[in-house]
Amino acid sequence: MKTNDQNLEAAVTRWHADTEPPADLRARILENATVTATPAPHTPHVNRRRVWWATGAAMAVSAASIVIVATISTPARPAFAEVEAAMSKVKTVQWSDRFSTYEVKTGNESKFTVKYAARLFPPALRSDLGGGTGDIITPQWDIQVWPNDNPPRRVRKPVLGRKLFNRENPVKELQNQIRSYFLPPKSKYQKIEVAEVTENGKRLMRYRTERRMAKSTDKPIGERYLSTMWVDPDTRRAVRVKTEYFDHWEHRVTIADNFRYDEPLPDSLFDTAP
Amino acid sequence: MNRDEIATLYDAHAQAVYRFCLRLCAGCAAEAEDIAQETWLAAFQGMDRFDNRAKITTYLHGIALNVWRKHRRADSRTTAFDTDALQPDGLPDRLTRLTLDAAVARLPDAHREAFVLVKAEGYSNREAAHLLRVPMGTVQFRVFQAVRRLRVLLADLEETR
Repeated sequence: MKTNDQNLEAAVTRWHADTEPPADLRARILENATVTATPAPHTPHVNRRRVWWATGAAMAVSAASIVIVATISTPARPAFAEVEAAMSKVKTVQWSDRFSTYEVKTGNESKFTVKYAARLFPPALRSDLGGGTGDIITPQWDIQVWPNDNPPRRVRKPVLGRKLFNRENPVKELQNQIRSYFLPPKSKYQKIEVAEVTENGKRLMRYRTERRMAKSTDKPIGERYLSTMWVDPDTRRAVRVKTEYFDHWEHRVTIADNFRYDEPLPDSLFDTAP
Repeated sequence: MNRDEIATLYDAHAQAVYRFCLRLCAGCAAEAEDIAQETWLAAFQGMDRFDNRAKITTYLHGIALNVWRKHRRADSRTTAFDTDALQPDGLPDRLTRLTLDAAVARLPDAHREAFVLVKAEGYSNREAAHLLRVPMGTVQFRVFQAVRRLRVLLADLEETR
C-alpha cells in the first residue's frame, strides 16, 4: 500500500468499516441489559435552562464583585478577573501556538506550530497548520482545507446538522471556545499565584496555577497541568500563555504568543464557500 | 426501557459501537468484544442521563472511549502487535486492514484516540475535542502526529514484508 495522504485516508475509511459484531455478543448483552436497564425519566429542558441562567448570573455577580474589589484595592496589579474582563472585549485576535511533545518511553520529541486568526463578533476561527492546511470554523460550518492534496480538497461539514451538542446558542459557544484558546478556563485558576516580572525591560503580570487530576476522575493518575499567563498590566491583555501537561508517558508544552489584538481581519479569511 | 426497546437500540447501533471498539483496539477482536459489552451495559444503565441533545452514537462512542481507557490503565502493558504473525493472504483489503491494525497499535493512546475519532469515524476536530475533553488544537496536533507517524510505520511494514 502506498502511504501518501489520499491512499491513507481511503484505507482508514475502509478500515473495519464492514465488520459486524459477533452474534453471541448480542445475546450476552441483552441478557444482562434487561437486569440493569432503568427507565429514562422525562427531564424538561426548561428547568435545566433555569439552572444554567441562575448559575451564570451568580458567576457574573461574583466576577463583577471580584473586579470591583480588585480595582479599588490593587490598581497597579490587576486581578485575574480584570484580565478576563479585558480579554472578553477583544474583537479580533491573531496568535500562534507552539506545541512540543516529549514521550518519556521512547524519548521522541516533536514540535509543531499552529497559527490562529479569530473574530469574535460574529465568531469565526481560522487555524493554519502550515502551507494553507487547516480549519475554518463558524457557528454553522466546519471547513477543513487541504491545499497540498492532489487534487486540493476543501471539506465542508455543517455544524448544526450533526446535532452533537447543545446548539441553543452556537454563536456564544464558539466565542467561548475561541476565548478558551488564549484564556484558560476559570476552573484552572482556582488558586492563582500572582507575580510581577520584568521581561526585556517591560513589566508584566504573571498568573500561574497548577491542576492535578484526582483519583476519582477517569484520567490516568499522575496527570498534571501547569498554566501560566503573562499579561500586560496596562492593557490587561495576554502577551503569552504557556500550558504544560505531564503524565507518566508524555510531557506536552503549548506556548501561545505573538498576540495581535483588534487588527482588522478580511472576511475572505473566514470564507465558508464550499 | 423494556426488552424490546433495548434490543431495537442495540440492533440499530451495534455495528457502529463494535467497529469503533475494534478500531480503538487496533483489530484485537477479543478486547473489542469486552469493551463493546461493557459499553452497552454502561449505556443502558446510564440511559437516564442521556437527554437527546447529542447523537446516540456520540453518547455510545464517549462511553466506549472511557471503557477503553479503563482497560488500558488496568493492563498497563504495551500491546505489542506481532507483525511477524501477519500472513498476508493476497487480498488487498485484508492486507490493508492488518497493516493498519499493526501500525495503529504502535501509536500512543492519545494519538490513537484522536486519529480514530477524526480520520476513521469522521468526527470534526471540534467534536473530537469535546469528546476527548481537550482543546481543539491538541486534537489537530495529535491527528497530525498520528498521520505522520502512520506514514512512517506503514512504510516500515511495507519494507519488512
